[in-house]
Amino acid sequence: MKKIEQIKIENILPGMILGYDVKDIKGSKLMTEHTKLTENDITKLKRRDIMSVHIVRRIKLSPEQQLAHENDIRNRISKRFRQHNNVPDMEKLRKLLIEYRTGQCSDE
Amino acid sequence: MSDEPGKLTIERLDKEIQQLPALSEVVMEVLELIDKGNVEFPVLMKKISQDQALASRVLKVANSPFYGNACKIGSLKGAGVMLGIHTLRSIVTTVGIIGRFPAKSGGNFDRLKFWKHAIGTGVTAKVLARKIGFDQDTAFSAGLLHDVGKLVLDAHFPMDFYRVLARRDSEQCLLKDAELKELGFDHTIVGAKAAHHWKLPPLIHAAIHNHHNPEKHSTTPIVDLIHVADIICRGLEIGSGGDDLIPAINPASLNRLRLDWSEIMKCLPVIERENADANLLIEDIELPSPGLEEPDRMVS
Repeated sequence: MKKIEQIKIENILPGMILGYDVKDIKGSKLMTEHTKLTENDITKLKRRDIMSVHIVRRIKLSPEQQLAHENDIRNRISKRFRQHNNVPDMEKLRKLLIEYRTGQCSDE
Repeated sequence: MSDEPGKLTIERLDKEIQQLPALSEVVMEVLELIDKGNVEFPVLMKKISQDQALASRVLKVANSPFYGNACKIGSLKGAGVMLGIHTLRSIVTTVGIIGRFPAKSGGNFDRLKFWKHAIGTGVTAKVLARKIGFDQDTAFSAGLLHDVGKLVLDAHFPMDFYRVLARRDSEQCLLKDAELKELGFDHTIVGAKAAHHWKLPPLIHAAIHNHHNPEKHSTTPIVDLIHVADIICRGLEIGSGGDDLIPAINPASLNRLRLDWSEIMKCLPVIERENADANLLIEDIELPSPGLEEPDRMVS
């Protein structure tokens, strides 16, 4: 499973992995997603006035943990829908969001 | 609603909304200039440059990946030429309003999470607008500002809003329902009055006023877009508009937008990706240290 966090550039450390492409102020790509950052990369980002980047945090889960995590997502989303039990359109939306979010978890 | 002295009533709201600070003299003048039509670029850019903070923010936003320009925009004049008046208007409006209600974390109403939700709704509306061929800048601005009434309540009527938040907590209900029970009106009314005071465009006004009740204004897609975008954004847990519930979606909105669930499903990863670029609008505020970021955002 992986999780993406936006982190200020001063808190970035070598070895961290980019979650999204980093673009400079010209809109052109400086670094691509999945890049494992080195000290040089971080210096380059600072020189280009990049203030923050998105970092991937990989979390190794056992099958049981994975299941528990997916259940957590299901419960959290379902809790948001608690006012709409058995309303067909809301039920469709709830299922769609759960499918999307749990699909992300098992995508690795 | 009680006539208890000092309590916020619609009459008092009407009166006090007139005292709301303007967005900023320069922002208002720029918007007026643009709305008059046939505005000359040099005049417009000279006006924007009178507010240094606004000018630098406009340049920063114009140069951001969110607007996706291939080459650097080095001057305000360049920003106007590259982006066009319409997009420039959208940037000036959003920058002006975010500057009026800066993000602050913590407290009963977390403005940092609020702005994340607002930006997320703007991005969602923009992605959906692209899908249906509606103006993306208007959709983004409308999404960004749809809940501005909550900010007005938080900033200018804190005691009344405190009671609203307490009722939300005790009844575990939607913020808008707590507002209706406590005040007799909700943030859409407050936001619409503020939008009128700030002379925001009619489409933005309509979205702010009717996003929880799209049937009242179904003649333009913008209200349906923001209604759906708000709900999707809540479902993706992007920021928080002040409660953790999802209001009922109006199926007629989806029909009018000609969107079905499978198309919405395809939009979700695009929304999350573009939202990451759009967050620069609040990038100046403190970001948490690694590991302290809010809810799980797992991505493929």
